[in-house]
Amino acid sequence: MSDEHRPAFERDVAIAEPGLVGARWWNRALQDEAAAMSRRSAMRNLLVGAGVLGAVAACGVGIVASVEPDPERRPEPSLGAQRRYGWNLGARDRTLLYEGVAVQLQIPSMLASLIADTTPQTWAHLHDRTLFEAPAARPTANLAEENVAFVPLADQLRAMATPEMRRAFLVGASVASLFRGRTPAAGLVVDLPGPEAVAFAAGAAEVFEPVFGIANWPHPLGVVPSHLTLAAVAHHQPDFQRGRALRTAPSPPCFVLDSARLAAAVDQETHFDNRYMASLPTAAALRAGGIYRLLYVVASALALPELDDLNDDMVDLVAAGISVSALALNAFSLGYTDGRVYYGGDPMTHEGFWHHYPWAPAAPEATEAWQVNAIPRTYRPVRRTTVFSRGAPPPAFGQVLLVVAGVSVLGVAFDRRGSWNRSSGSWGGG
Amino acid sequence: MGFTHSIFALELCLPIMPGDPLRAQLQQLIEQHPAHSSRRDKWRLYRDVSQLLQGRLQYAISGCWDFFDDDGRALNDFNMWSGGMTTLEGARRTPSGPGDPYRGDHRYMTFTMALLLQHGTPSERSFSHACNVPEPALWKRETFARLLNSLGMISWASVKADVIYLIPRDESFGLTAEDLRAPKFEYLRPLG
Repeated sequence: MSDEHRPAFERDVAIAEPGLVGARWWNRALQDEAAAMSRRSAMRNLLVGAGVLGAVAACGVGIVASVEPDPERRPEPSLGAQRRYGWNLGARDRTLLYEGVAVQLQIPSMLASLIADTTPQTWAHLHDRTLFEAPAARPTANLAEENVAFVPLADQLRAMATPEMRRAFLVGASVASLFRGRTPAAGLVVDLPGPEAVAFAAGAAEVFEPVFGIANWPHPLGVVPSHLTLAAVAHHQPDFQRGRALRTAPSPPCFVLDSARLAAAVDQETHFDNRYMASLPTAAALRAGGIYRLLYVVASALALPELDDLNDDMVDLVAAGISVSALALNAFSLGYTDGRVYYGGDPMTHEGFWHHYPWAPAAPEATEAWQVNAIPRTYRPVRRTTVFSRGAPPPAFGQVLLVVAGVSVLGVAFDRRGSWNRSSGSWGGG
Repeated sequence: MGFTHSIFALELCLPIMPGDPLRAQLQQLIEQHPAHSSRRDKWRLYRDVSQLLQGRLQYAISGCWDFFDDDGRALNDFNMWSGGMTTLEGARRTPSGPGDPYRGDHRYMTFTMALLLQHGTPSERSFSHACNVPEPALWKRETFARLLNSLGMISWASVKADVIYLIPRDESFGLTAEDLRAPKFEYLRPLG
C-alpha cells in the first residue's frame, strides 16, 4: 500500500447533533514528528543549560552538572490527579463518545442543579457526590507539557438514552409500584452498568430515594465509562426532580452502584484507570434509618455472587442481622398491552413478588410466578477471599502513571503527544 | 520547539434553498468520511466540498477566511475553530422550523473548514501565495472561489489536523436571519 492510500488521519471528534454535524481528524505521523522535534529541542536546551551551569560550577559555586534527571513514572490515585490536573488529564485533545441517542443538554442551566437534584434528603450521610462534582470542576495545576486549553466536562456532557436504560427505568418503576404503600423496611442496592443503574433509580424514585455510590470521574480514556452514567443522570434529571417532589420522607434508600467499577486489568500505558471500590452502609446505619432488609438488584442470576468489593460488607450485614436477598432485572418483563413491565411478565403474577419476598402481604388475587427469579431470590452471600477482601484494593488499582522529571510533572504515561515517548529507546511504539 | 504551524480556515453562509440538495450532500460528505482516512481520502473530500461550494458561491451571503503563518496564532485559531464545533457555539438548540423563503423568511446554513498546516513545506508555501490577496478583494466571491480551488494544491502529508462542520445537521434547525445577527456571527463578512 502506498503512503497515499495508507490511513494517516485519525478522527478524534465526531459530532452529530440536530444543530451541527462535524468532525476533526489528526495526522498521527505529523503529531509524532512534532513531539519528536519538541523532545530534541528540549534536549538541546538542556545541554545548553548544562554548559552554562558547568561554567558557573567551574567558578567554584559548586553546582552539580547534571541538571535534569530522566523522566520517571510515578503512580498517583487517579481521582486526585483528575482533581488537580483536570478531568481529562493527558487527553485534552480527545472527546467522549456516547451510546444510544445522546443529545446536547436541552436546558444547560439544569446542570447547575445536578448536585442538588441528586443529593438525598433522608440518606444524605451515605451519599457520594463525587461523580456530580466532575462537570464543573477545574484544574488547580497544569501538566508541564500540556498545550491544549482545558474545557470543563460540562461542555462535553450530553443527555443519553439507550434501550437498556429504558428497560431498566420500567423495571425500577415496576419495583416502586410493588413497594408503594407498603412498609417492608427494605432498601435497594442496584448494581448494574452505570446508565442502567441510574435509569432504574429514576424509575423507582417516587418511592425510593436514590443514594449514589459512584466515586470516580469520567475520562476520555477511562476504563470505567462513567461519562455514560453521568449522561444518563442528565437524561433522567427531571425524573429525579419529580421523584423528590412526590416521595414521602423518610424514604427507603436505593443505593446506586455502577457494576463496571472494577473493570478488567488495565494497561496504564494506554488507558486511564478510573476504577474504584464501592461499599455498603453498616448495619447500624441502615437500622438507624429503619432498614432491616436489602435487595441486591442485578441484571440476571449470572451476575451473582455480588461483586468482589461488596462481599465482605454483605456478609457482615447478614451477620449483623440485616437480611440480604437478590433480585434479577430479568424477572420483570413486558405485559401484553400496556407497555409496563411486571414481575413474572403478567399483571396477575406481579403481586406474586411478595410470595417470593414475604416481607409484606401480597394482594389476595396474586399468582405465584414460580419459575421466575429462582436463583436470585434464594441467594445468600458467603464470604470468599478476593483481591478486594478487607477493603484493600490490589496494587495499582485506580491509579495513574504520571511522568515526572525532578519536581516537574510532565504528563501522563499514556499520552502519546508527550515528549517522553520519543526520548527513550527502551519505551516502545513511539 | 517542534515544527511551526500555519492555519487556513474558511466559512461560508448560504441560504437553505427548497429542493437544493447542497446541505444534505455536505452532511453526507462529513458523516461518511472514514474515522481513519488516507491522504487520498482527504484530498477527495476537500475536492468534493470545494466543488459543491463553488457551485453555490453566487448564493452565499457572507463568509470569512484566514491564513496565518504565525505558529502561536495558528495553534490558537485551530483550537478556536475546533471549539466552534465542539461547543456547538453557532448551532441552534431548538428547531427554527422550515421558514417561508417565498415570503423572505429564509433559513441558512454555514459550512466551516480549518486546516492546521506544517509551516514551511513546499505545498504550504505555495498555498500561502494563493492566500496573498489584496485587501479590496478579500471578501469577494471570486476570492473564495480561488481559495477553494487552491485547496487542491495542498499536500495532505503536511496537514497536521483538519476540522469541518456544517450547521445545521437537521434542516429544521436552520439558522434564522435573527440568529445570524447575533454577535457570535459578527466575524462573517457580507460577500461582494
